[in-house]
Amino acid sequence: MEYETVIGLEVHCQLLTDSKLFCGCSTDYIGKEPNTNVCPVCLGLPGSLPVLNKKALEFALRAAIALNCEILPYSHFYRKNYFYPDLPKAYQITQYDIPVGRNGWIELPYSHKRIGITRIHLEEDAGKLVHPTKTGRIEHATYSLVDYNRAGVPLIEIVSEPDFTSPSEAKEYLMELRSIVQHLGISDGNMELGSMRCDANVSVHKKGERLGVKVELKNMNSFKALERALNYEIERQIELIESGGEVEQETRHWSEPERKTISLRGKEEAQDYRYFPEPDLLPIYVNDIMLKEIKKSMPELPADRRKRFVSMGIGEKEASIMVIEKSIGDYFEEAVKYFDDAKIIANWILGDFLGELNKAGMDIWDSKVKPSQLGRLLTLIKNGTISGKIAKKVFSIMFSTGEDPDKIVKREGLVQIVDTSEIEKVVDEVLRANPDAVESYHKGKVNIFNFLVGQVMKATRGKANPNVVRDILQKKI
Amino acid sequence: MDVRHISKLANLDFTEDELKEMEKHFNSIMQYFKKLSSVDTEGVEPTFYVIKHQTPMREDKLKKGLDRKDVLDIAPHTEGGYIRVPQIR
Amino acid sequence: MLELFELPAWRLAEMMRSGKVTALDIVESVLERIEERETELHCYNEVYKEEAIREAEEIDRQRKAGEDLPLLAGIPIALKDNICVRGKEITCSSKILRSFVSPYDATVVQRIKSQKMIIIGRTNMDEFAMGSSTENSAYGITRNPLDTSRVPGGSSGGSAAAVASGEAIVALGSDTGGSIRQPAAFCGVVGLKPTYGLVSRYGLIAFASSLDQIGPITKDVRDAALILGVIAGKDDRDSTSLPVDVPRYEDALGDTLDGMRIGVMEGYDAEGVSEEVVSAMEEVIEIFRTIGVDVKKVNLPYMEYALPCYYIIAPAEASSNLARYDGVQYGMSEDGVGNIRELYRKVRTAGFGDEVKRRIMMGTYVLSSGYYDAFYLKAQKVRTLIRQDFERAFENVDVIIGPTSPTVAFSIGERTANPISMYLSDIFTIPVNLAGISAISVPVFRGDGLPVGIHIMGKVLGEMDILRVSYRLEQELKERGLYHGV
Repeated sequence: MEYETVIGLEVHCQLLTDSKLFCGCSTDYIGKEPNTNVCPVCLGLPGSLPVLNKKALEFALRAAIALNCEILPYSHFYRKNYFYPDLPKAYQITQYDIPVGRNGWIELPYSHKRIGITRIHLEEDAGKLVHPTKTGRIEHATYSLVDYNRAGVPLIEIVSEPDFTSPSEAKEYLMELRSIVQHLGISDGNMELGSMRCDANVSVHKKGERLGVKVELKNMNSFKALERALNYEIERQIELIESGGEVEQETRHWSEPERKTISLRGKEEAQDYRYFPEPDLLPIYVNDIMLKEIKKSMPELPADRRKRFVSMGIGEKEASIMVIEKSIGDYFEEAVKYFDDAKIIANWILGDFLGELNKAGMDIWDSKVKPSQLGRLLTLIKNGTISGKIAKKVFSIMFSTGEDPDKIVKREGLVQIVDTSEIEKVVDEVLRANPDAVESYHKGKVNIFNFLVGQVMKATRGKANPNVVRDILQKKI
Repeated sequence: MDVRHISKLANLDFTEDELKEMEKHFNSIMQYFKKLSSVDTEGVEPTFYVIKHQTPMREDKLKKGLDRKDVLDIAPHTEGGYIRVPQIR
Repeated sequence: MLELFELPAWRLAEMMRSGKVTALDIVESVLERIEERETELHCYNEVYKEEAIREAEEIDRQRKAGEDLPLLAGIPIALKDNICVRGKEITCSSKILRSFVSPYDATVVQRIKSQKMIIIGRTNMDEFAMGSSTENSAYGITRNPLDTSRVPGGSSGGSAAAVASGEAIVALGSDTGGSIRQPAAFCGVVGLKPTYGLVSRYGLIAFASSLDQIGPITKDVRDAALILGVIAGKDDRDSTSLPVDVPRYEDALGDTLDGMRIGVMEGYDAEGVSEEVVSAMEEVIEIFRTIGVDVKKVNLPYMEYALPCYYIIAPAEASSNLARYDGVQYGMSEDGVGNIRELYRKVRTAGFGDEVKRRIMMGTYVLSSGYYDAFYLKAQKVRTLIRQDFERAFENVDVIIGPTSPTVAFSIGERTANPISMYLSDIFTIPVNLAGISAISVPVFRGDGLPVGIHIMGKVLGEMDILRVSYRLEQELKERGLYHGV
C-alpha cells in the first residue's frame, strides 16, 4: 500500500533583542543565576502591565518580509489562558486571528520546492522548569523548580502550511529557516540552546484517499532529532493503520534516548485557552513608512547570498554549506579580502578548517585563526613558499596557537626548497642509497618511482617542491 | 452551564450544594444575558479597545529589574534561588 | 470650631503654608479620629501610624528650614487596598493575598510621594473590587459613618467611609463599574472616576483591565480637582495611558456655566429608583434651571443593556486577571500538597470569597469554547452601541446628570442573599465605565435623611466640564443648606 505523508511545522525563534518583549529585563538569560533577570512585569506581579518592545516588532516584520508574507497594517495581541507553573500570569500574551504577517512562502534551497507560510506572529516565552531528578525529566520528579529569567523573552512563531511530504523536506526547511533568521540578524537559531524550537504535525494516508489524523510531535531538539522523530512517527502510524488500528489525534513527545515518540495522553482533557484580545495592550499599526524603513535596511538573505557566492566562482553545493552556516559564510567573506581566489578559500574552509572545528566542537569565529591569517597562508602556497602538504601542517599549528603562518614557517624551517641544485644533491644521495630500488625501476617496476620521491621528500623533511623532485629524479634515474 | 467543567478550567473546588447554588445563580443571570441576544449588532465593531490609539512602544533598552531577594522573599516555597512547586504532571 | 480632620485638603494646605498648623498637627488629628471611630467603622485594613508621624515631622522640618514644598505636602491620604505601595502588605481585602508585600510602587503612589503627601493607611474594600457594599471583604465589613447600620457602598467603601468620617482627609479608590462614585454617594462625599486612560493603572491590582480607573474620593470638588491633578497624566509603563496634556483642573472651578448644556438621563425616575433619589434629582434639576442653565432630557436607548453587558465583560477579564493567584509566587499557599493542580485548587478555593468565585466562574464561562461569540463578543458589540449613545448625546449636551445610585445606602446584610439585587445598585454608574468617559458624584443632603449622590457625566477627557458643573452645584447646594461639608 502506498502511503503519503503530510507534515506541517511550527517553529518558535527567540529574538535577539536586548530586552524582553514587554519589559526592560535582559534577554541574555543563559547561564545566569535563577530569578536574577526579572521585574514586576515579566513576573506578572499584581498590578504590572506590558509595554511592547519596538525592536521585537521590527524583527518580526523583517521575518515576515523575508518570508514573503502579507503584512497586516493592523494586528493585535491576545491572551492565551492556561495554568502552568512556568507561566507567571497564567496567560501568555500572543497573537491569534490577526498576526503580524500571513500567507507567505519560502523556496527550499536544494529541492526548490515552495512551502507556504501560514502566519508569523509575536508572543512571549515562558519561564524554565527544572526537575531535580537523576534524569532531569518531569516524569520522575516529585517536585520542580521554577526560574523566570526566560519569561517574557520575545518569540516569533512561524507556522508553515502542511506542505511537506517527507521528513527530509521538513529538515531542509528548518535548516533554511534557521539560516534566514541568522542572516536577518533576528535570532541565532540555536536548537540545542533552545533559541529555535520546532513542533511538527504529521499524518499519513493511503494514496488517493482522505487526509489522515494529525499527530502533534514535540521535543525535537536538533535537525537529526526532527528527521528521526518524523521517520519514526510515520512508520508508527502506518504500522498502526496496517494492523487495523486508528491513529488518535494527540500530542507525542520525541524521546531521543529511546528513539521513539511517546504519547502524552493521560494529561487533562483538551485545553480550552479562552482566547480574547489583550486589554492591556493596544493594536499594532504598521504603516508604509515603517515598512519602507525596514525593507531598506534588510540584510542579505541566504538565497541571495548563495547566488552571490556562486558568482564568485564557488560551486552551488559549497555555496549552500557556507550559507546554511552563517558564521562560516561571514568568515569566508572576510577571508576573501585577503586572498583573491574564492574557490580555494572555500575549499580550505570546508576542508581542513571545518575538520579542525568539528574536532574541537567550536564555531569558526571562536577559533584562533583570523581570516587574514588564512589568506596569508594561501598566499604562501600560491607563491611557492610552502607546498600544499606543508601548509596543512602549518595550519594545524595555526589552529592551536593562533600564530601567523610566516612566523611558523620561519621557526620550523618549513620554507619550500625550490633551489634545483639543492634538490639535485638530495636526489643523488637517495639514488646512491637505494641501488636496489633503482634497479627494480629499470627492470620495469614503475611504482618504485613514488617510493623514491617519498625518500627525497623524507630527506628534505617535506620541504622540497614535489614537482621539481619528480622532474629531477626523472632525469637522473 | 456545565458548572463542573467550568470549575475545572478555573481551578476551583465546590461542594455539591455550592455547585447547585452556582447553577441557580447563573440561571438567573442568563435571563439578563438573553436580553443582549435581542440587540441587533449587525455591522457593529466590538469595543476591544476603549482607546483609539496604536500601542505605544518602548526602545529596546535595558532597565533595572528586581533583586532576586525581592522575588524570593515574597514566595511561599523556594529552594536555592528557585521557586519551588509540587509535582507537575 | 472645626477639627482639623474635618477640613478639606486645600484648606489645610493653606493653613500649613501660613504657619497656622503643622503637618504633624494634621496627622495627629486624623490619627486621633481613627482611634475614636475605627473600631466601629473599620475603614482601614492597616494604618501606618509611626511612618505617618515620622513623615509629618520631616515635612515640618523641611518647611521650617525654608525648603520649597509642593502644595499638598503633608496632607495625609488613604489608599484603597489594591494600590501597590512598595514594602507594604497589599491584599485587595482577600485572603489569597494575605502577607503579599509589594516590591514596587504604583505610578500614582510615586506621584503622590513626589508631592510629599503622607500615605496614612490602606482602606478596606470588597474583595478584588467585586461588590457594591464592602461586605465582600475577607477582613470584615466597613460601616457607613452616617448610619452604622448601613453599608458605605463599594467596592471603595473603606476609602469613602474614611473621608466621610474624618479618618482620612482625602483618599484614592478604584472604579470599574461605580466603585468610587457609588460609595461616595452613600457616604456623602465626592468621588470622581477619570476618563479611561487618564490615570495610570500601573500598580493597580487589576479587576477588569478595560474598565478599571483610579480616582479621588474627597470631601469636596476642589479637593477632587487637586488630587486628580496629582495622579493624572501619561505613564510609559501603562500602554493604555492617554498621551495627553493634563490641564490645571482647579482652573475649572468657579467658571461660569454660561453656554453649558446639561442633559438629564431619561429613566432616572424609573421603577426601582427610590423616592428620595427621585426627589433629590428633581431638586437639582430645578437648581440648574433656576441659575439659568439649559437643561434637556437625553435619551440613551442602549442603556438598558449596560448591566448584562458589564456582567459579561468585567468577569471575563477578571477571570483571566485573577488566574495568577495560585499559591506559587506570592500570597497564600499550602504546604505538603501532592501535586500542582491540587495546590492551585486548594489555594484558590480557600483563598477567594464567594462573590469572587462566582465572577471567576461567570468569566470563565463566557470566554469558553463555544460561548465566546454569543457572550463576550456580543457584549463587546453592545458596548460599542452604548459608547455611541454617549457620543451622540454629547453632540448636544456638555454633561449628563442622573442619580449615582437608585437608592441611598442600604442596610448591612440587606442584599447579600441576592447577588443580582446587589448588582442593580450600579445600574447608573456602569455605562460610564463601558464607554470610558468621565464622571463625578456629588452628594445632596436633605433634612436628616441620608445623602443622595448626583452623578455628573462628561465626555472622554471632559473632566474640566464635570468639575465646572459639579463645583457650581456644590456652591448652590451649600447656599440652600443641602450640603454637609465645609
